[in-house]
Amino acid sequence: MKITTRQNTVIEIDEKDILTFPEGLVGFEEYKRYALYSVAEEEPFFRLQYLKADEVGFVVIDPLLVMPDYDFEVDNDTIELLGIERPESLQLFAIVTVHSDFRRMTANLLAPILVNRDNHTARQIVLQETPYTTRHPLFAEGRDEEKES
Amino acid sequence: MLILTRKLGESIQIGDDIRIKIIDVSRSFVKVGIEAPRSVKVHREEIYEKIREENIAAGSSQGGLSEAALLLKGKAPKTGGIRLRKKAAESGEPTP
Repeated sequence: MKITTRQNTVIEIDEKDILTFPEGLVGFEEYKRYALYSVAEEEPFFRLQYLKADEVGFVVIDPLLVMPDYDFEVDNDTIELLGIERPESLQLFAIVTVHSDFRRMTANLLAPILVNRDNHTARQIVLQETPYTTRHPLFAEGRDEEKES
Repeated sequence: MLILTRKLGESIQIGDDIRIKIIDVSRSFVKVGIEAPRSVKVHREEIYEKIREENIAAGSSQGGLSEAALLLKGKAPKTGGIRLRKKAAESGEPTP
């Protein structure tokens, strides 16, 4: 299917890049189907674009680019919900909060998005008992200014 | 708001399939165990609220990505993948 990107170009989205969040995202419970895409000048960022309305969308990134030893346990509930059979089919993203000063951009490492590429199903996981925060700075320069409470 | 008094070890039943048990009480902390069906999501209120706020902020945040993208491009993840550890089956285990 075709969608219009933030750069106002129309791109073709493959069926496999249309993700279903059975529960929506936290605060966006009714928004369940998104297109996942990236454009060359924005890589390694991806866009998660809600299919039915252009104005709902998120920027996401592989959290390992932000924190190389990022790690958490996937609970059984999530394994069931996403129908996970092969760990190698999983893809992980963190939602990025964009800022006009790019050095102050942050990633939400407390509630990552886990995607099962086998069935194109995804969930925003709320981690329990974790040191990760919702506003982890992407760049060291932003680390003094964006302190987590 | 319905207010109930419970002793240590006692429970509150909500509907047919939600049970909240008082596990431990200390000076200013109460540890509760919650049994609920999968479809009922249970979260600490302040954490859930924080994530909701950040999602809304992220969803409405705007700005160019190209500068940040250039800086990040050189940084390939060292581990190159997702590490998963399967948790043992949980049965409403309380978390502190």
